[in-house]
Amino acid sequence: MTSTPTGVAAVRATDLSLRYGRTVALRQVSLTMHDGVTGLLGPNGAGKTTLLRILATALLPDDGELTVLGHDPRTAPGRLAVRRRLGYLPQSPGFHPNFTAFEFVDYVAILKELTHRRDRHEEVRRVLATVGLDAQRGKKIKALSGGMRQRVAVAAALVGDPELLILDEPTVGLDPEKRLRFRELIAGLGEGRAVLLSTHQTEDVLMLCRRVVVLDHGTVKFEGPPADLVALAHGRVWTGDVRAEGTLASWRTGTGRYRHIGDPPPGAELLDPTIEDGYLMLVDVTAEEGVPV
Amino acid sequence: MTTTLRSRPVRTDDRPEPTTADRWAATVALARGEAKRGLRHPATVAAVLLLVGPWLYGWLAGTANRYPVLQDTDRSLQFVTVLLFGGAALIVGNLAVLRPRRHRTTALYDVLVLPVAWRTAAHLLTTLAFGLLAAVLVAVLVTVAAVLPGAAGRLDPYELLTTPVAVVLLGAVGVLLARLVGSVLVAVLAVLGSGVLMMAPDLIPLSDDSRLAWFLPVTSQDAPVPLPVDLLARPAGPHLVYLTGLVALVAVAALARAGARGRRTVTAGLLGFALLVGGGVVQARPVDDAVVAARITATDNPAAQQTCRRIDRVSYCAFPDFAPWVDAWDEVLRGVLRRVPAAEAEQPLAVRQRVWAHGYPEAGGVTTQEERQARADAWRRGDVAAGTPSTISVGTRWGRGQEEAEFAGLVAYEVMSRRGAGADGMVCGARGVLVGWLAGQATPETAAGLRMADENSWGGIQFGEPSFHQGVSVTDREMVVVWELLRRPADEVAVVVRRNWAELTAPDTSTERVGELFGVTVPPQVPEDERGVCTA
Repeated sequence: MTSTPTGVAAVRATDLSLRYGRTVALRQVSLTMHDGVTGLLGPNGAGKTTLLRILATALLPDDGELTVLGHDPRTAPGRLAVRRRLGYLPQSPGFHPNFTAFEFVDYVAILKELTHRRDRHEEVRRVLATVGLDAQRGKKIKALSGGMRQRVAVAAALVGDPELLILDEPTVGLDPEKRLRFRELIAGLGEGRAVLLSTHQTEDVLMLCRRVVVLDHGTVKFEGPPADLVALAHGRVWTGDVRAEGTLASWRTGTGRYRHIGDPPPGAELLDPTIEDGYLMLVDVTAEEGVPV
Repeated sequence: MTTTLRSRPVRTDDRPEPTTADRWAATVALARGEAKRGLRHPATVAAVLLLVGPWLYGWLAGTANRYPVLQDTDRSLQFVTVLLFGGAALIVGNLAVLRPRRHRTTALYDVLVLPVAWRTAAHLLTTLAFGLLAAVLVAVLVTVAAVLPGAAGRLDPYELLTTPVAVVLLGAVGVLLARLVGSVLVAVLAVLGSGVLMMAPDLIPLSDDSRLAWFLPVTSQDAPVPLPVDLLARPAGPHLVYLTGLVALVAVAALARAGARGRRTVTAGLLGFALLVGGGVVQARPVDDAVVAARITATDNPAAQQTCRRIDRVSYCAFPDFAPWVDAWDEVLRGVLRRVPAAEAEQPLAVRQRVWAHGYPEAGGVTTQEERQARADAWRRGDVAAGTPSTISVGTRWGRGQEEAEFAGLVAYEVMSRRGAGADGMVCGARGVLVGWLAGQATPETAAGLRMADENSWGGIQFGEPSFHQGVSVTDREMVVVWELLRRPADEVAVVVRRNWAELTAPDTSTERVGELFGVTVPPQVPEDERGVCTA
C-alpha cells in the first residue's frame, strides 16, 4: 500500500504543452493549486477543457511536468491513484436516459470501484442528498429537468469524497435561479477539497472563487484573487455618448450610453470596473480556436 | 510562467490501494447490474415471449405433441433458443458496451477507476445471465416433455448444455463487435448472419455422415426422422468442448481489444484454442463403423434391436426408447379392430416399428418401385425370422394425428389383406373406402389426422410411414364416400361393414357397390387414362 503524503498540492504543473496536430492547445502552462474553489476563465478554444482533461488523466501532455494529488498521471499506477481521488464533471456530460438518478450514480460508483454494496448505496444516497436530489433519486434521468441532470452529474463527480473536483462549465445552459443554486452547491464543495471550476460566467468566479486563472491561446494570462482581476481594469473603463473607435471593446448599454474598455474616448467618464472588464482586458475576444504553429 | 494559486495544501486521505479482489468485486458488481438491465431489455423479454408463448399456446390449445422424442426435443430447442436468446445477448451486450459512446458519457467514464479491460470482463460475465436464463427455460420445457407418459427416448446433458453455451458465445460476439466497431447496426447484422449460418446445413444439404455442420454453434442437420438414441452418434460432448473453446477465444479477443494483456490473458487464449482444436478434431471424426452397421440393421431388419410386448393377440415390437408408445399404438389398433368381424379381430397381429436410419435419400429424393419391393421383401424375411411373419409398420413419429391416421390405415389394410410389412400401392374400390373409413373412425386423433392429411394432399390419402415413401393410398373418389360415411354414426356403418365384410374386402368390389350398400352417391369415375393402377 502506498499512501500519499498529507498536505501536498492538489495540482503541480510545470510547462505543460499539448498539440493537436498543427494546433497548439496548451503552451508551457504552469500552475500550482491547493484547496478551495479555483476559477478557470478563458474564451472558447483557449485550452480550458484540454487542461482540465489533462488534470483529470484523460489526456497526457506532450511536454512538461505534472503531479496531481502527489501522483504522476503519466504512469499507469499514478493515473489509477489520481482517479481514485478525483471527481470530474465533463463539459456537457451525457446520461443514460433510462437509468434512474440512483442507478446512474451507482453505476459511476461501481466504476470507481466502490465494491461493498451496502456502503456504495449509502454513498450514492449521500451524494444525491448533497446535491438536493434525495427525493428524485428513483426518477429516470430522462424525466429530470436540465438543472436536475446537472446535479446528477455533480453527484456522480462527488462519489467517493474526492480530494480534487474538476468541474467543466457546470452552469452552462442553466437559468439564473438554477445557477444561483449551483453556486451555493459549489461553494459548499470547496470546503476541505480543491475544486477547479471552468466557466464562462465571470460572475460565478467572483461569487465562488478565491483564486482565478485566465487562459487564452493556450497560455496562462492571469492568476490571482478575483479582486486582482477586477483591478486590472481600474482606470480603463469608461462611459460616453458615442461609440469609440480603437478601444478594446465598446458597446451600447441599456441606458443608451456606450461603455468602453481601453483608452478613454473624448468626453468619456470613468467607471468602476467589473470582473468581466478585467477579463476582457486580458483576452483577445476575436481569436479563433487554437494557435497555428 | 509559474502560478502559485494558494499556499495552503490540499487534504489527502490515506486510502488503501485496491487489491485484485476489489477489482473482481467491482467487475462482478458491474456485471450484476448489467445483467439486471439486460434481462429486462425488450429484446430479452421478446425472446422469452417468443419461446414460451407458442409453447404455452400449444398446451392450452391442445396442439402440443404429447409423444415427444426426447433425443430430438433437446436438439430441436437449440436453434430457436440460441437464435432468440443468443440474439438478445448479442444485441444487449453490444448496446451495453457502446452505451457510453451512444449517451456521450465516455468523457466521464474514461477517467473512472475500473480499467476498460475489466469493464469488458464484466460485460462478458453478463452474457452468463443470458445463458442461465436460456438454460432455465430449456430445462422447464424439456422437463415438461420428459415427464409426459408418452415421452420416448432420453435427454442428452451435453445437448442441453450446448444451448446456454451457444447463447453465451453470441453474447461474447456482441461484446467483441462493440470493441471493434462502434455501431450497433453491426450487431443486428451479426444476429441475422448467425441465423443464416445456423440454417446453412438445411439450405445446403450435406451427406448423412458429413460433420461440417458441427463447426457451427448449433446445427439442425441430422437424420430426417427421429432415431433411437443408440443410432444417433452425435458428437455432442466434443462439440460442447469445441464451443467452450470458441467462447474462450472470442472472450479473450474482446479483452485483448480492450487492452487486457499479460499471462492470464495469454493462458486463457491458449486454453481456449486447445479446447477449440481438441473438440473440433474429435467432433469431426466420422461416425463409428459399429454405429453405421447398427443403423443398417435397424433399417433393414430391426427385430434384433427391438423388444416386443404382447397385448391380447397383438405383438408390439419397438426400439427400447419408444416402448412408452405401445399403449398409444394399441389404442388406435383397437379402434380399427372393434369395427371388423370378430373372426378377423381375433386373428393374431404384430406391429413393428421401423426407421430409415441409413441411406435415406438426400433432399427427400424418391425411391423406385424396385427399391421399395426389395425393402419390403427384406422386412418380411426379417419378420419371419423374428417369429412375427405378418407385421404392420409404425414409424418413429407419433402424436400429431397424421401418424395415428396413417397407422390406422395400415392396420385396416393388414386386417383385410394379411400381406404383412411393406404394403405399397393404391387400394381401389370398396377396399379403399374401407381402409379410409376404418382409419378415420378409430380415434378422435385419427379423424383429425385424416382431415389434416386431406388438407395437405394433392390427391388421395397416403397411409404409410412417410419417411419410407411407402404405404397404401386411397384416391379422392373413394375418399368422397369415406367422408360421407364418417359423418354417419360409426355403429350404424359398422353393422353394414361386418355384415358385408367378405364382399367389401374383395379386390374386385367397386366403389359403386359401396354406394349402393350405404346409400351414398359416388362421384363419376375419372377417365381411364387419369386413373392410377390398383396394385395393393
